[in-house]
Amino acid sequence: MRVLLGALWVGLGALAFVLPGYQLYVLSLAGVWAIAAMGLNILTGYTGQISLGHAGFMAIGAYTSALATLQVGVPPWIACWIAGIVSGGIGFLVGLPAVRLHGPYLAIATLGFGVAVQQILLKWDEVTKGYQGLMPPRLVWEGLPVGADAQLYLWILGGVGLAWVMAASVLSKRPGRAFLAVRESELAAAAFGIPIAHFKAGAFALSAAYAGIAGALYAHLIGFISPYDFGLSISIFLVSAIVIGGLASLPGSIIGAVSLTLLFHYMSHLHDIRSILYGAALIATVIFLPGGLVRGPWLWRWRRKGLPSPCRGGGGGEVRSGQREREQGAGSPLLEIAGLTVRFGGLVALDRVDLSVERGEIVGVIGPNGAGKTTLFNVINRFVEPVQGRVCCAGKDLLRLRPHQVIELGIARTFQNIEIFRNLTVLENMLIGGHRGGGVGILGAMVGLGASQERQLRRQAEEILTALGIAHLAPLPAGALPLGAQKMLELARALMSHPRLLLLDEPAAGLTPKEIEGLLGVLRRIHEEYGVTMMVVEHHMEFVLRLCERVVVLDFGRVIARGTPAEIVAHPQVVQAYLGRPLGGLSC
Amino acid sequence: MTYFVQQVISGLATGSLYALMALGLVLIYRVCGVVNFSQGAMAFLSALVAYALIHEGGQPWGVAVVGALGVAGMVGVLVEWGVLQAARRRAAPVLGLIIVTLGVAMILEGLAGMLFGHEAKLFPPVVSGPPLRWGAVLVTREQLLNLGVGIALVSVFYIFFRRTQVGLALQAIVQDPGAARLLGIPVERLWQVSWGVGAGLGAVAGLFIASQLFLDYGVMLELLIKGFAAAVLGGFSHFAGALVGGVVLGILENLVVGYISTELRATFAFTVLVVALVVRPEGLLGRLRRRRA
Repeated sequence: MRVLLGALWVGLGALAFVLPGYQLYVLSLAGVWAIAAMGLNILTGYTGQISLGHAGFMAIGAYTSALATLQVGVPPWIACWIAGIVSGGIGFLVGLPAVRLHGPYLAIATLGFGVAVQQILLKWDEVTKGYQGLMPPRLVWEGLPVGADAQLYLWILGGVGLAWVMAASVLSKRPGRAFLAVRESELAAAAFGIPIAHFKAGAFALSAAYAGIAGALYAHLIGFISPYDFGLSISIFLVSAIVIGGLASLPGSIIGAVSLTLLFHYMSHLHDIRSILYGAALIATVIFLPGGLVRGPWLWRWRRKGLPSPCRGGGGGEVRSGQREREQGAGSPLLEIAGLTVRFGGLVALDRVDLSVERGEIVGVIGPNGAGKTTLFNVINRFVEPVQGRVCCAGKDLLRLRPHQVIELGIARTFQNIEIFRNLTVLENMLIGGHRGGGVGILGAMVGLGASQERQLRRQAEEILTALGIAHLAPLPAGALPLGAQKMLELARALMSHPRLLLLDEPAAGLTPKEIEGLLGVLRRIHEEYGVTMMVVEHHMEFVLRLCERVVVLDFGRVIARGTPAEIVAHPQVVQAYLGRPLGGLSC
Repeated sequence: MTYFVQQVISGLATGSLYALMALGLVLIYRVCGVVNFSQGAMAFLSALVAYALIHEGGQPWGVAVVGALGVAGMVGVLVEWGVLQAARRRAAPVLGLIIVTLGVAMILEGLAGMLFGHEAKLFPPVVSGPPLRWGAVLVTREQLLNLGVGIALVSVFYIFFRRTQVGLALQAIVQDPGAARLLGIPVERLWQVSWGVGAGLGAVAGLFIASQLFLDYGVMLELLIKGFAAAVLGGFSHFAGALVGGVVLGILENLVVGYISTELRATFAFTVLVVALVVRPEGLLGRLRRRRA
């Protein structure tokens, strides 16, 4: 694979000495758009954030580089890097407030940003010369025995290669998975320790840096820039390129950018028909080929890396998660909740709840629908802000943490509505579960760090999958699994974070009796062998009674009973909450 | 003070057109769940048809307005029926739907160029005559007309939405599309109606803006962005919000231009847009819906 790509690049490089100037110029432009498209794909394809303003970042890069060369005398090849840094920095700043915006709102905001940049460049004419534009030097080294067009082509080809390698390194490792996790489910991403704002703004910065470098290369390729080169149509061109090429795919970005550029230049005699064809192609891609050209049936598929071979069967493996809570510090509670009150508008979801969970316990939380069970978990996860009360874990005040920091205390959870990352493989889901374990960041991954941690994480994921008997599912997309396997995956993903407290939100809901038996066995094993403390919300009474050592009953947000399973079934208030007030004279 | 009142009235007149644009966008968004990025191109094509009716057909303004409305309505219905329905059937995500409307915009822009050429077009004045006096304040007849068009269309829209069977059905879809479908409301048909009506509102706004400046795609894109700014300012999920947003944007813009600098006219709407999205994404009148686990 690598050899093939290397050969492809050498072949493309050889074209520099064969093709005439105009063809090289068109290909160079295609390369510029390819770099910008890769950047946009990191943001839109991988992180799920739409940008209709990427021409703005290209413009920032182009003008930074042009001004650096013209005013300061920086050589072009250094100015390009400066452009990337400046544009990336502005991208980060733009990304910070954009974190709060979703879907169409973000599209509108970025659209406004792109047009605003263009307007500012037009109006700020002491520096930018307004509509007259700037004439930066071309990226050509005098004295090389290669012509200017061929040189530019080769530099840009090299730039595309470097951009690809760096992006691939980021995307295949921890930060790339964090991007994908944010796109798939912000809730689950936060629960597994991914600071959403950090990675969204990080994706914005990285993406803007790519666009900035592309803009700088554009400036030094053409030798002339004006604000009109970076209008809304360019932003839309980039979006079209990644959609037609393939979202969340680096080769797709390149294929899309190159093919659209070639069409653009070789169909320029068609004028308005070209615009119509572009629009039609865009619509047709969304409807008939949502994966883009790169995932079309006619092309060799770039497959994601899965486990080398599907290994069958369960059992055997070792669940190496959790710390032996039972052996250490017995006595002081692991989780302590006191006087916890949550209100949604006028509705009191939790009303002065006191609850403590000892190390090594399995505590069941039961109660009718709407009793506040899931809300309790959401408070622990910091998704819901309580009105008053105290939540402590191992002596630390949980309410001072942000959602992604909760897992640092060893609190992992599963969700009532299954928040797996549906479009990612089982293995990728697992690796995201291990995000907390640390590893390489965005910048580190760009320069190729983090390979050994990645290997270790993969090994751990394989072990846990084997122990839970779903190792053979590793390369499959998680959304395609049957419900039982999805729930098992959620559990396995939680174990990836070495939890000491597992919050299980209706783990048995929707499972067949046989699957429930299997789940009981797995949970007991996790608990007994590794002493993971558990809190289980569940409606399935028999499941709770068989699994839990202690049960807490919630009704309308209040604790109405607590005790051993045997005590709970006999508790009159519990019976009433579940079955209603017994009617006089009627016996069941 | 006179100057101030003058600016406010002028802003009110332009703002009522922004409000129409925003109302069209919000209608399509609320009923169909799609932000229509082709609204500017739709207005462009419709205004061009109106221009052709006046200039080549020698028709009066009234006919041109009706013609533009008809074209916009047809294009809107066609886009929903021909394109978005197919995209929805294949469960296209939000991004996909946005991109479809961008594709529609490209097609319409190309069509407009093919049929009508690329030079900017000047409309004959809709009304003529000296400005009206009200104390020391001057009001041009054009401003009065814009205000009148805005008020008239908004009233028609309100009556349509509140008092007719179709309007009630649309309200039901806004509340709960699934339940509306179960009640036998032809949801697909009404999506088409909303697209038609929404595009029509945008077309009228575009036509009257163009009649004062000139008509080219850039002007229509600017109007689209002002429509977005107005809609976002009002909360994007409220019809009343769109109106308030449009009027507030128009007045603020005129005050900024009148008191600070005409240079700021173009950038002001984007500033409002971005600030509104960041500071108060739920809008002036909106309530933020909380996401729960």
